[in-house]
Amino acid sequence: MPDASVIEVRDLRKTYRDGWLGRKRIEALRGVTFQVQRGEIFGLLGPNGAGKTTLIKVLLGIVRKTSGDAALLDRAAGDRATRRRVGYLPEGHRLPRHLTGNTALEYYGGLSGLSAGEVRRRRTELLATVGLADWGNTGVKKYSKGMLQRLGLAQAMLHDPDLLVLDEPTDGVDPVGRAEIREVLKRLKSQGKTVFLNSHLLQEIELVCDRVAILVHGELRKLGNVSELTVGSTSEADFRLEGDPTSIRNALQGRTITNWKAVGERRFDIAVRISGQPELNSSIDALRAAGISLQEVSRRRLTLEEAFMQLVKDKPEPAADLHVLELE
Amino acid sequence: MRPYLAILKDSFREAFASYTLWVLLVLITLTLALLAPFGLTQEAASTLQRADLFDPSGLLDNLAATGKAESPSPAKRVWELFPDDFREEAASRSKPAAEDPFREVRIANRLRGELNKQLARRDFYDKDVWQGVELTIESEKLIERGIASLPDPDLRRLNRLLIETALPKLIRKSEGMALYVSWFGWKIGDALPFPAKDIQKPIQQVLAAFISLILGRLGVFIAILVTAAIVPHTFEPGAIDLLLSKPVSRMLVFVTKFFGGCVFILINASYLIAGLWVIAGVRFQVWNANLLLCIPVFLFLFAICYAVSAVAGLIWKNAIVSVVLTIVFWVMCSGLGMARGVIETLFLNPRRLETILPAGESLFVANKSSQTLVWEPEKRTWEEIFKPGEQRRQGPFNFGNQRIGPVYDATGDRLLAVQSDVPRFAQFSGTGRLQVGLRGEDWRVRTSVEVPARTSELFVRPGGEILIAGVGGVHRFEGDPAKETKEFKLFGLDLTPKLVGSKFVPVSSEGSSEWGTPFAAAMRVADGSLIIRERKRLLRLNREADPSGATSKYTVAAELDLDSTEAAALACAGKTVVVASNNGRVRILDADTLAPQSEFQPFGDNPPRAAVASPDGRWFAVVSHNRRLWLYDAEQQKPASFGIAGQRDISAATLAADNRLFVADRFQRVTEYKLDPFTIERRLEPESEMLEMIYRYAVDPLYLVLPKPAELDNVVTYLLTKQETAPMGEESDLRTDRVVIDVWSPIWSNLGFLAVVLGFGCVYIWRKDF
Repeated sequence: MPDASVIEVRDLRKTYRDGWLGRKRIEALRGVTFQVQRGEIFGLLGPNGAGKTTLIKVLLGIVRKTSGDAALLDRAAGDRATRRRVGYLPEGHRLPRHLTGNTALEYYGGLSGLSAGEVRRRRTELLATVGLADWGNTGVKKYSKGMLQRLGLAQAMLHDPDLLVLDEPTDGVDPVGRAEIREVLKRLKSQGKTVFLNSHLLQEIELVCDRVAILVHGELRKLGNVSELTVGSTSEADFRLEGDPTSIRNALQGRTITNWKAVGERRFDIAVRISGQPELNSSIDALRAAGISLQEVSRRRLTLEEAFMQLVKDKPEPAADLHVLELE
Repeated sequence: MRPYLAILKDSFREAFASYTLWVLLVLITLTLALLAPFGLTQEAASTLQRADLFDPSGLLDNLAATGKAESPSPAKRVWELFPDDFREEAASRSKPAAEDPFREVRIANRLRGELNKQLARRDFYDKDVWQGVELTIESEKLIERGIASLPDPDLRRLNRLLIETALPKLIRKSEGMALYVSWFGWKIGDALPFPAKDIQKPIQQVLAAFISLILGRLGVFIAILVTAAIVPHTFEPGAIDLLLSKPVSRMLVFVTKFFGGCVFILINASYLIAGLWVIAGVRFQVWNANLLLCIPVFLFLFAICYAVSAVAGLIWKNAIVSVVLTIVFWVMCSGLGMARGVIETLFLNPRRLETILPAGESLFVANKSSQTLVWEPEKRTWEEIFKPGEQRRQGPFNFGNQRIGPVYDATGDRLLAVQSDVPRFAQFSGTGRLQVGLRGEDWRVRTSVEVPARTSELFVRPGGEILIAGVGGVHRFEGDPAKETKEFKLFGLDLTPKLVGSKFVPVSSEGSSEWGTPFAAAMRVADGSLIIRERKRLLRLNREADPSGATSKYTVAAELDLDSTEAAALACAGKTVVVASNNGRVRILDADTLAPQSEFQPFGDNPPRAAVASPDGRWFAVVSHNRRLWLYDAEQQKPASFGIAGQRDISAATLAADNRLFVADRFQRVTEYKLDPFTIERRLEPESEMLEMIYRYAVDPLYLVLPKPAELDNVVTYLLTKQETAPMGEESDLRTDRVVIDVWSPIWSNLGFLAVVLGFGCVYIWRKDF
């Protein structure tokens, strides 16, 4: 395994058993393979039920894998010593209601192996970092959802971990808070920390992640940086053309025209769906051969959301009877 | 280690954040504040207690007879000061009518009340009446101070002393000071029936009962309600995944969380028990560090229930399910223990054998229900013989030994016993009638004369002479014991005529009429000499042959100060006396000089039930209340060790000629052993009845396997009293039945259960995907 990999997953599978005597099987992960490099912010995207949380739980040893390999910081996933170097913020976490901000950090710091003195030294700065500087002595039962998220993030960073696994860190946080959290993540990256981010908010991912993986129905659909994800897939080309409309249509025959707008006499703005650069080149060649004047040509990049939706729709969700298998 | 310490620390934090804890701490503080003013008050002893009247019936007879005399006397003075209606009732009373068996008890209570009223009278002392009567020095000093000016407590003390002088031998001589329980200095109830120096044990027993009730029941129940949510909350989604992402072991998280949950009861139990310990020490001078050991005991008791609650919470993640399952579990275990107790106490223990009488070819036994039985070899069963009269309580509620004996008289081939007069719940009433059963009459009971008051032992001398011994002295029977008294009705009253020519005649020396409790007696069969233990003294009484023949008396031939008021069981044969004391000490003495020879503690601090000797004086056996048998070989002068079956379940033993030992165990089984060389001769055991089978093969094994949370109360009693048995009645009588406290079995079974349940929880959490 290369030194630079903080997380390495190869053909990872997880099948839950449910029902009477465990006769019902639910495949949550179906052969997932990827790597996360040291110092990067890695985003994991996927619709509900895609297996994102299961993947994180397998990495942390909270759930046992069915097959495949998963390693964290060069040790097998779930290794107790490795967990000392990992900070985790679960989705919808519940902090014991009898704690205050300060005692919660003492408790989770102790669980991570920190002494009470170490926690006391770090907690003031940490609470200030997450915007809870004045709330350390307040009981967590009085915290709002956003404040609980901030405190959860603080406990994940408390023991200065090499890897942070954050499951929906901005859930319930206001826009200002989200921006602050983004700043925190960037600072962590600058310190050489690795962040594994799981979020529904595509904008968050787009803004902070170096690389993104899209998980759909337990399968990894796409992995790359944001430009690769948005460019590498099916997109559209915008043309401003001058010429006979019938000749234009004949030249683009077989291609999907998604927009047609007349902008002057024999002048048109049209949008054509293309699968890639070769199809764009052949379309230009066909238009020029038909004597059409190309006044403007531009290729439009998809947003991450569009790319994500495309990936989700391209391969529909397996039918329930395929996804959930009854054991014979 | 640090992560687990963090979990434990958090448990304390959680407990102190709980409003319930503070409410309970306030309630405990209030309870301790209520208990703190309790204390002891001593004042000059005066009030007559129930136990101060030795023989209320005899006392009334005496007073009524003296009242008719012409000349003034202190007893007549007492009689004259009674109200007219009471004098009439007392004078006209007869034997208790069948429809009012408690009439005697009622009159005895009234008698005590009337005597206590006289204590307050300033005119009770009449110089003329007490003329010539020897008063105690204390009485004379009080009279000298002037009765008119005596403060009330001193006046009552003087009158009590005068009543004791007026009615010697019928009223117990009081100690100088009486002890009362007080609250904020106010006396509560009657004087305590023991001196201040003996306060330790009663206080400890009260504390054990209080702690068992408050902590063992109420405290555990509240703690279960309060702590039921801890584990479900810990293992619910959002909490457990954060916890398990830390560098911790799943199983240790569960176990630490479990022990963390015990913090709640630890805080409450520590506060209450430490508070009681301080109150008992400061207010009663009872500083018993073992009381503090009750804290871990109750922590353990709670842990057993909490283990069930925690595992239920782990699986179902629901506090209500945890509470319900824990309560169901508690009720099931307690119910089983209760069922076992009921079957044992009401149905099986009354059949337990406690006397074995080898009589030639026959083998007689007596059980706790005062039934005398004989072994029928052909039917292989015990058949009841020598049935007592109707007064004996029938059915399962017959706990008490209402008979003295039976003993077998080989000379006359007859069984003898003394049957209690009053049908009582507990022990022999102190008065009763001699009963005789002859083989020729198929052991039918013949009721003979009344025995003197406060009889406690029945013997047959080698020649067939019947002797009884008690605090009232030694008496021998004169006449024909087989001659019956027949009750008859007159105007609706049951009357018993006096038997002409049959009576008990005192044969002990003068001093013996002053004997007191604790009392025990044993006879050396070879020569009929007696060993008597009364109060602190051990006496050897020899029967001096009187030249005139008939009036020979027992005189004290040797005396030993035992330096203890502990009750004791005695056995004497050959050259050896065995004195087995209530504190578990067994002393071996020389039978002639009573010189101590050796000393043993075979049962720890547990009291003996009975001591027996072989006729030749070689073997001695002591049976303890915790149902063990100890053998002593007087020839080798050391304890003998044999493979006697049924240890921890032995209820009786007897030694017979030819080195034979009979041992009773398993309710109705008797095993005959030969001791030199050791062999098992025969086993007599009737076929078990259905109830006994259910008990032996269903209830008892289940009870053994399941935890016994409620039985930990016994551990508390053991910690405070250091005894594995607790008396069910008068403690000074070693024959009194005692509840056998099984100290270690509940601890082991509860520990086993705790380990299994926690182990199951650990495996579950280890295998579980969260």
